[in-house]
Amino acid sequence: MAKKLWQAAAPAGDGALVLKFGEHADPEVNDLVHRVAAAVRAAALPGVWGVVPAYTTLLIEYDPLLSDDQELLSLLGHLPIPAEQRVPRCFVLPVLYGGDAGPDLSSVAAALRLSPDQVISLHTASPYRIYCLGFSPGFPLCGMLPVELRTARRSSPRTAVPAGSVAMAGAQTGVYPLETPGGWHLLGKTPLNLFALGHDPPTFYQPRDSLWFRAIDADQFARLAERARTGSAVIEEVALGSP
Amino acid sequence: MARLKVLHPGLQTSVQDAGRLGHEHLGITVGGHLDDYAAAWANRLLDNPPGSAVLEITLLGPELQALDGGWLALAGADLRALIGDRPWPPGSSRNLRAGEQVRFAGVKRGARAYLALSGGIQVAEVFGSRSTDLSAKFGGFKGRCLEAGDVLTYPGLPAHPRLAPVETCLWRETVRILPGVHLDRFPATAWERLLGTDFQVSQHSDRVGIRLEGTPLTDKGLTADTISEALAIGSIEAAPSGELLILLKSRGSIGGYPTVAHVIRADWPVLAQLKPGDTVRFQAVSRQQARAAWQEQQNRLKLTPRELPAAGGAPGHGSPPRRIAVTAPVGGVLHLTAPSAAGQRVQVGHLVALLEVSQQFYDLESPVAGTVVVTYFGEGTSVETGTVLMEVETDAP
Repeated sequence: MAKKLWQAAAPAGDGALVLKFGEHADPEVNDLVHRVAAAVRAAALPGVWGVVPAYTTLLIEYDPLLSDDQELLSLLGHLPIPAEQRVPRCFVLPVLYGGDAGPDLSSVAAALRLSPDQVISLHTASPYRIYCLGFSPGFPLCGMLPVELRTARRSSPRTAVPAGSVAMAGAQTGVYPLETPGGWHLLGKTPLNLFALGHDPPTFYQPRDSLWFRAIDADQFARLAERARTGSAVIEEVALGSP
Repeated sequence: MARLKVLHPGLQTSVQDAGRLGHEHLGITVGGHLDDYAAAWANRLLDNPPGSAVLEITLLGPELQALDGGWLALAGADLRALIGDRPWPPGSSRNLRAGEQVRFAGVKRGARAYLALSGGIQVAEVFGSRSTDLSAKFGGFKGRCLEAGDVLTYPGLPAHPRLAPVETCLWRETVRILPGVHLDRFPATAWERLLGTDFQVSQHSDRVGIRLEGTPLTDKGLTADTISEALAIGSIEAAPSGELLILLKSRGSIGGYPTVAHVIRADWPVLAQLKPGDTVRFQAVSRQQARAAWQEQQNRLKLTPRELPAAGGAPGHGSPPRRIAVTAPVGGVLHLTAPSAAGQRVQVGHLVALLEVSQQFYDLESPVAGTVVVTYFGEGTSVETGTVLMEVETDAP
């Protein structure tokens, strides 16, 4: 029997099971979440129709006619969980900060008792790990922000956040790939297209990869947006040294 | 192809199928028809392949006009549908003549009606589904709700007048629940309060979730600064304000607040039929009861629809060709024979398939003389009792 990689398992109703891998969202715990998620998806267990990896937990959704939590746990206990083969990548994401592209930059800077430039330099200081994709299609949930940037989410969410908006809330940061409602603070906007409809996977990044935000000016934004529009944008990558 | 034109779109009318399964790890929501029971009945009444795209009609229905003749079926909420001036009760199929109009006069019972078009609505699949993702604006018909002037196309296959043998709208005030994954984060009194309170469905409910108004479960708000995780569909979560939200199939895949309870699988269709202002109360059940309820609901979907005499008498000479389903009398492994291919002529008693059950072979014969129009499953598929395997169109008299 394979060694159990999760700390705890609990049924979430009669059609879902939650596995918990740790108390805190650290990269090692999150790596385990994605390893088990990949194995469960590949195994096509009876009745299982959905697998949702998050920071520290994995949700497995199934048809209660075809399985139940005990049966599923027993199958999971025997499931081979291959070691991760893929080396994580780090993508540079150009961002036009402030102004119309980032309407919350000045208010959030004021609330944090920082200048807008200080917020930008803190936000671009180092790459952020993508812990999972969620909230909306292709949305990279990244972390963790330096403590100086941590703030509560907006009290009233926007009904439409423009696609490409770079945002933060709490200890998390990320990018809205599509125009959707949203409650995070908008710092800026990337000219790159993040979500390719109908492609699988629809994003060039995956969980465990990193995004490194880089400030650009309005002219650079316009040039990159034009290249993104014609499909000739090149996504810059940097090699990550060993941690 | 037959066409159906939208004269007036109604409140929120969208193309939906069973939803985008297997893409949640990419952040793509499941969505699809919120009431899978009613949608399944709408498709069954027309012998549409299971999971065909249908229209989900919310509260105030659309006005539609048949540009060509074609069969439609209605199930779920009673929104007082009319064909011309004739009432059209949910749970039945009708053959529209070119030019005829369907409209909905108001809400009588439930919240969402499902309109199936024979052969299924033809729109492109996006991430394996024809559903409209209204939040991300893709899939379905141009990624949005229907608007006046839109024209839907569907194969317009022959069908016949039928009536569902059971109620297709599962609206009721009582929703059955199991304890939530985060129940231990709530005060000990929260579960009792949840079961003892009559809640009201808020106006701010949508396909993402049902907001409830009523006494909060806790006297002070719960802290929400826990790490985001994926919450199961049907989870009842408590916002920091104490407000409760029941997550439906269009929920974001990750996010959320502490979960006090989960609505059982069999009652997802009940959630879909709740409308703003409705009263909701919760009833605790055991895992065994939850499973039995789901099993019973799935069995009910296998009941045979009642055949009705052709409405208003058959026009002209004789009745139109009819499609007869060949169903599996027992569960087993399907083995096809040469006459099972679409387009093959069969006589009464022709062997069209074999079912392998415990190493025994059970003969399936064609009940009528006619032409095989569709075979739903491939060689070697495991099928359950009552599954429609193929359909044979009888020769026109």
